[in-house]
Amino acid sequence: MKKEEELITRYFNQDLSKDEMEELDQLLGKSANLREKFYDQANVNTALETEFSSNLPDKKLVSFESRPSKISLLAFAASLLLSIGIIGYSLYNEEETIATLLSNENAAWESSLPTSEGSKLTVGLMSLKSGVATIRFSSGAEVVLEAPAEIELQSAMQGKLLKGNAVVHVPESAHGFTLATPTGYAVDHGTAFGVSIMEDGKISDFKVLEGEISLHSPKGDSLFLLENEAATLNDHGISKKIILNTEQPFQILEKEDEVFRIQTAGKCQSIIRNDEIAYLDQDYLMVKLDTGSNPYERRALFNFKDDQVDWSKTRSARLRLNLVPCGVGHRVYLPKINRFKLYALAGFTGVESWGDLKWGEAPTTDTATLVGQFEIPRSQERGSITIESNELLDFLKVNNAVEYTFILTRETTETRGSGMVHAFASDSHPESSGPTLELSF
Amino acid sequence: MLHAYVRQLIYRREDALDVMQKIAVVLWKKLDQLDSDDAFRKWSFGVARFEVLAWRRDCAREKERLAFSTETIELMAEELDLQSEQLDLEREAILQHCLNKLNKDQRTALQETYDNDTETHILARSFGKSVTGFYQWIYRIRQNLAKCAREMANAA
Repeated sequence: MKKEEELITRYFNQDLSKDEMEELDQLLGKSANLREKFYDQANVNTALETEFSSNLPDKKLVSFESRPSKISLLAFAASLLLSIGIIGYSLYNEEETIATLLSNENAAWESSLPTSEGSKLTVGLMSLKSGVATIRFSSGAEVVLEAPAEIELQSAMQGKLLKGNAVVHVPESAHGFTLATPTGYAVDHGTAFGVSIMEDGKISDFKVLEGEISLHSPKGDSLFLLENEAATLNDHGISKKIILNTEQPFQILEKEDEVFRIQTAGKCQSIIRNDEIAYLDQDYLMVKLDTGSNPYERRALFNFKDDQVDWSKTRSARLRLNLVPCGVGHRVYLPKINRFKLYALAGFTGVESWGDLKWGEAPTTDTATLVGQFEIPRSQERGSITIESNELLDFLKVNNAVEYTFILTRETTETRGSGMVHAFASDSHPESSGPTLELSF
Repeated sequence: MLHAYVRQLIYRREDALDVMQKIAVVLWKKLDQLDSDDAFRKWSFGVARFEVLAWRRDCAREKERLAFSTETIELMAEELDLQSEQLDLEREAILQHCLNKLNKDQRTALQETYDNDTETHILARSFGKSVTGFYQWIYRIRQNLAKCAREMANAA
């Protein structure tokens, strides 16, 4: 027993070595009897520590535990308020810069605060109408917003997301950063997490990307969420697990003279690696790289057929695609720049009807020729993509085939699960045109 | 109460104060929503436990910082939570009554251990004890205080 007693006493003396600490840890873990003795000693220690200690650091906290009278909750609360009163003062000093607008990616803002890149921001409301933007709070916490979004900057340690999607990165310096939503708030403990406000603020979804957060509802419920866990906060409180959602389509097409245009005719669709075709939509050419265990990787395939054209006489060739939002996934989970590759095949005779083409039945990029590459910033929602390359022109000329099949892939993956699926209008899209091959001779 | 709970799980006093401040920030944000003492107590102990464990994880990155293992902290946190009201009463009793029952030497020795400037072997010698003997003695003084406190608290 002597040995344990000495270890415990030296523990309170704070002169244990690392090995001794481990020894004590193991002894305590094993013996409930020793733990009881330790609690007695620790309780005496705690009582005496504040009574006897003289040379403490300045940040001495209110020593409510050493007061002789029993202290009510209210007094306890008041003492807490006192002890952090200084923080409180700086939280509500409206003149102070509390954040910086770190970057704008195709961002359009509506706010009384400055909205150019690098602007110093004070307490206030900011509304992001389009694009993606990053705000860095002075505490170090970074919030990446996806339009449409609305955020209230409240202090260096607190913001309120009223609308939209955001990813919050919290470094060591900003532990305790709070992101409020209309239905509650999250306290970050040094992590990254995603948040989506839905249904006019009635629902907030949280997903922890790294580390952990605690969620709190106005009713007083709280839940600790660990990495990769997700939860929903609504009127009824907090519940684990989630579903993600958003968006709607749009159109664009340009006209040009003396150009011969070929469009796809029915052979225009996406394939998905796990063949779960419920995750495809015939209006869209959906493209995504997903390396997860149940891959939702999608590629687009489209075929142009024209037996009138003498391809060998082609002078120029351009492929046009219309980028449209399909509403699947979140753009904040994508890298800033997304790269795509376009492959071509002369003909494709494997399957006659393309209806519900399986991944395994589709042509692969192994046998195809790379004819073009392009990039799309994650902030871009829609627009016309033109691929014009010597490789494309040469491929069409050299093969002089009756039909050509193209495979479109995304080369960049998502930073986290539920990243956005890029979509281009297919030939059945209600508003935008499908893939078009523009030739001149 | 809460501070004592946190303090009993963390080796260094300064670390406990840091963790306590983090907890205070979290609790403070909720003060306007306090409706029942009991719910608040339960919740605040939950927050405290979480923050202590978060601190413990941060420690793992600093090799020289001493701390109990996560398992031991969790085990003790649970047991301490159950006894916390009793322990509150006992601390009160220690300060109000039991300290006065110590003789002058005991009280001085105990007080000196909280003075970081005095090295233990010097302190031990000034009381005519070996270092090990001194630790034993201090252990027993605390044990007597704890015993007295329990009797007082239970009698109250």
